[in-house]
Amino acid sequence: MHDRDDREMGAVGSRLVRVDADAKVTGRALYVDDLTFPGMLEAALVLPGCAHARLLKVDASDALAMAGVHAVVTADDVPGENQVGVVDRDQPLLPSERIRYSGDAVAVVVAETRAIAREAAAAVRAETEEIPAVFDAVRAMEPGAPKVHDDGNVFLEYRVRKGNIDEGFEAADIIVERTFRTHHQEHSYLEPLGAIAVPEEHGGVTIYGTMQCPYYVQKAVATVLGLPLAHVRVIQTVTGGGFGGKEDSPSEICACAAVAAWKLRRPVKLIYTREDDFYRSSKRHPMTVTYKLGATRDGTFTAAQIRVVADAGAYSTLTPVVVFRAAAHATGPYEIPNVHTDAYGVYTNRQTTGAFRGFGQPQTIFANESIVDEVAEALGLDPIDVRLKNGLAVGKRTATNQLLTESVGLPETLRQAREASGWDAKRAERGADSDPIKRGIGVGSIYYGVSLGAKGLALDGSGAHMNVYRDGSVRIAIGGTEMGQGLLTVLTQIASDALGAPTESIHVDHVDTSVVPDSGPSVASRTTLMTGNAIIDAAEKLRATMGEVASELLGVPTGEITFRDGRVGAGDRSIAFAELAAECWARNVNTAADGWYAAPLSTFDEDGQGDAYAIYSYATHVAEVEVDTRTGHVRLVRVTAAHDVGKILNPTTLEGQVEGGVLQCAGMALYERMITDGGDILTPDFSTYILPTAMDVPEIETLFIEEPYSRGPFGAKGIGETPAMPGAVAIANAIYHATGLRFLELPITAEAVRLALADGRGR
Amino acid sequence: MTAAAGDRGNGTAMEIRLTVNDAERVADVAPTTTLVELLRDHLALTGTKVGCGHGECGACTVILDGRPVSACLVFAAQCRGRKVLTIEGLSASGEADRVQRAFVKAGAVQCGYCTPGMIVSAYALLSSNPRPSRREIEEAISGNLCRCTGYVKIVDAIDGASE
Amino acid sequence: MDRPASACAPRWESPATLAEAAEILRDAAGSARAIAGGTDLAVRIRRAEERPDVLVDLGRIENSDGVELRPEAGAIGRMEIGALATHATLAEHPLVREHANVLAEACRTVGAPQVRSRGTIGGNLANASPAADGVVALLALDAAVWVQSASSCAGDAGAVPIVDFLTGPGESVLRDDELIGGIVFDRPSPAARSVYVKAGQRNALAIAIASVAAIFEPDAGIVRIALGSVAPTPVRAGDAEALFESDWRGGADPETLFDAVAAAAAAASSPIDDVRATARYRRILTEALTRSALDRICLRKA
Repeated sequence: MHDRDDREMGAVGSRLVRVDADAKVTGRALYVDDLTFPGMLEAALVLPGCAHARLLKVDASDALAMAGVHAVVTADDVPGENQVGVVDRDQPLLPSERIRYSGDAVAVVVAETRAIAREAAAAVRAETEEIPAVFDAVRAMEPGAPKVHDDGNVFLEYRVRKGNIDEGFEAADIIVERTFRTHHQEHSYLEPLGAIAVPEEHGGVTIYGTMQCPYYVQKAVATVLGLPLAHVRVIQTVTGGGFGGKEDSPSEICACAAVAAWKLRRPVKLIYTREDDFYRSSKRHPMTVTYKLGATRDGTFTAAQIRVVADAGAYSTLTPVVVFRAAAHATGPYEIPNVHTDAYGVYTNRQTTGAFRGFGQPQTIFANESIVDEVAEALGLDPIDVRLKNGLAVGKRTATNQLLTESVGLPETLRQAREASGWDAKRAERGADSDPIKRGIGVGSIYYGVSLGAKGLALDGSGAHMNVYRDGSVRIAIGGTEMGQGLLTVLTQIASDALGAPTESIHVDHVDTSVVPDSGPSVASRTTLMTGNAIIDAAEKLRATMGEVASELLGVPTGEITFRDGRVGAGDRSIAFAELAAECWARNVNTAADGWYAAPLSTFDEDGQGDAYAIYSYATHVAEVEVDTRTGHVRLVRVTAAHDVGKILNPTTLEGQVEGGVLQCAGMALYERMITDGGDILTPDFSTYILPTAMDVPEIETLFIEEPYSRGPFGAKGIGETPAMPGAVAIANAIYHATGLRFLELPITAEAVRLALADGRGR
Repeated sequence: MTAAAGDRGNGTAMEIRLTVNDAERVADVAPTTTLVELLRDHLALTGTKVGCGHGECGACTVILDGRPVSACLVFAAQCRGRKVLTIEGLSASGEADRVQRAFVKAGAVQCGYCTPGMIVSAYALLSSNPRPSRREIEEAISGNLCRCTGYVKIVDAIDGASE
Repeated sequence: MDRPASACAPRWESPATLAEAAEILRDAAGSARAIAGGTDLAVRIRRAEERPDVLVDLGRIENSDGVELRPEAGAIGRMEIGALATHATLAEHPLVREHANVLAEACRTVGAPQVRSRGTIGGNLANASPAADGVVALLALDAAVWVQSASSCAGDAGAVPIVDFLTGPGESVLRDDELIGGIVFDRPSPAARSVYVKAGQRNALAIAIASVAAIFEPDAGIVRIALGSVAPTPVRAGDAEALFESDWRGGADPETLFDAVAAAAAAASSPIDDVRATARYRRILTEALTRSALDRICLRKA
């Protein structure tokens, strides 16, 4: 009834201070491990640690004999179905016959205290018989490889077929082909996974936990307990980071706590040690990506042939969706007339892999953006010029042949990053040969389909419940999760402008699944878009009902009423929002409303053709490095990060998202590698798994381009993932520019650089 | 919570007295109880977080006799008669400390899990060095891992809180 | 994986003197562990790698964390450091910074501020890690270790040179009933310049992949070079030192000489592959770090 676009923006776009900052800086914010319930017990898991084995027996007698131990819960105690798979039904919560990776837990030990539980867990003996295991996805595809699941290791295949690949390469003047590898990356959210399950007197259970996807948890707990969804209530506690790592894994830990609480009829808390978290939480997929790109002499891409092999680990968890995204985006953000992509999800006896900011794309981006640089160099062209020449723009078509009709900021990210970084001068600069420090500058560009796209249609709606009290204060329940990104803050801003109520009067809660309908997962950069639109929907309904009351009170036609800056009315005839709320209450007018937003339909046919995602976000990062050729040490000097975000909702939270993403890219490029030996993780802690510290941070400049999306809240698109995507390859390209070393594997450690130089590679 | 998560039920309890946030406190702990367990489980001061348990992340940073320490690496028994300052102690008067206010203002908080330890490290720095350089700030918080922010706004906040 | 401590909680002892502490250790016959800062022991107990029956808190012992410079007859002066001096203390202490900068620099690179606040130089020695930054510096300083046992206060005369004290990774000559009382070394000449250079996997919070502690005494024309993380214990690069001594005075071209000395230092290493680095890279680093250290202390080049 009211067109929001003609209203002057108020809260949206401002640097509203985070609504949860006070609680967090004072230590008052309550994370799951800060909560306690009467009669609560503590739990610990039993991990036999085998990579692949038959489970013969779980002997808990020693553990049960220990003082303070209440129960050792195994598969036999699961009242419902012993199944926790997110997409495929391939993952037992507590395996009873077969262990498929070293993170598999065979029992939950419950005791008076955490220390007793952990000690007793160490005393549980699992009798196992090792069977041959496979630790490499490419090997796992070969005939005769040990089978992780009986149906074979290749459980997933997507293809994209556009144009004619043979003709495309025929038309090329140059073809470059290489194979790239990436490894596990650990999310390393600072708050480990944790859950509390509380049996309720009505026969159901309430779950508290750190998570991104409460509705996944609700489904998993209902499945293992054999309960209707209505009897499982999930409350998200303040969540200490997610980055994708709290999409699938919380279902497992919450279900473990739930089964234990169910057996004992007492609240049970289960908090992972950091080592448990390394062993059991899903990682970024290791991928092997073969990329072949053809181009004509002027730098026009003619064909791309891509093969992606993703290591899913022992269970598929989110691999079906991750590999879909990787396949759909594998060309990079370019219009290429002929595309031939095959992408596979493969089981191995390694840690499960799932969502991590970028969701399967950073691995393929490492390949495509390295190759684009090689093609540019071979043709004597500037890498940014080549990207601008082939880059997506309005009117161009993606690899899935989707015609882009709006909000394509890629060219502008390239232009602004080039300008702000001083690219042209630095690219031309060549230091003295005698200087042991070599300087380089490199670029990476990406596009990212916002929300779930064609393979997540059933999940792609989100809700909100908005309640205006008679004093004008507003409380909003949502289905999307705050995990640190600033969701509660930007939703407060959206609600404020949508309702014309001051931000101070609005409170947005963490998710409680009993209040808002299943809103899908908080992933894929979809939450601000989806939940923001749901809030706008609810606000529109409230403006309609409350507007009628205002119309009567003020004698102004409803069509002229606006809600702005805490006042409702038209021209000089207005009342305070709070006053109107009181009047509605006095007249028994409902001032609560539900909002809902469903994503537009997407398509992806058997040949990978269709409108795969409704809208895309774009970004370009330029990285500058100094490489010490004596030690191999790479100093990341500066990163210029240009992002097309549709519309800036809050510059502060946006900058924070991007700065954090830039450092995650640096980690992926230079430091982070989970080293394994069979089933053993040799880097299961923060002294061996190397995260960047405050002393490893480059100068970071953030640039925002606003190409509004017509269906986004105030024009906004998703921003959650894109900051963590282009930076790693930009660094790799900068190292190449500095040294002439083209790395085909991440991370590029100081050792990798130095040994490559020692081997005579590079310039 | 009735029993400490980190204590063993059958351990030898020992009584310790110490000063926490300017208040005298007494607790019965086991010899292997760590300071962070004492704070969180015995004294209900849950603002101090546990991120790794091995002194590698800094989430449990508190100030012990004027110096920042990882509370997961200190045994409670080592703190007898000593002074501990936690995140709760910075705003004990009900008013946030200037470091806390600076973190809010600069947008240095995201998920918040590293925040208490980070603020305590910053407070320790500013107590001994009221006008640190950015390099000194980075060094002072180099033992506090943050996965959300890229540290940029955290360093800005501490810089802003310095004199 | 993380595992809790033993089923029986240990006894906690807080002796007031070193001698008393040594007696407790003796009486416990190998089942006691002394705690200095506790930064390593707390982790090992949590992981159940150690299950001591007695924990001996050294933190109540008076006058055990001091730093003193004692002018001795006929000598240039001797530094005495209490075993319980923390890394933070040594990194900041004016006497250490003035007379044994290499030790201050090494201690400043240990872990993070939180660990430097608690971790002690005595604990660092007792752990006998080949990567112990402070120990590498002490080795370059030709330091010796006072060992205290229940039966005797070894004192000055009985000080054990660090080269003899360390016997392998995690191994030293220290018996179960002995403690480190302190550390002594002759002050390098006033003209001496020293440096600690370290390569880790990141710029802070890093365990050394390789490190070099080096001291240059211009008046004597000698260098002392100790290497960390490239052998079962920190080691001295004796051949490299000898090469330097023989050629420096002769006016050799520094570039050529330093390259040769650095190569000799690398030859003194006997590294292994581990999760942090390969042996090959450690050798290369040892050479590069030695070269860099020589540039800085002999030529004052950054």
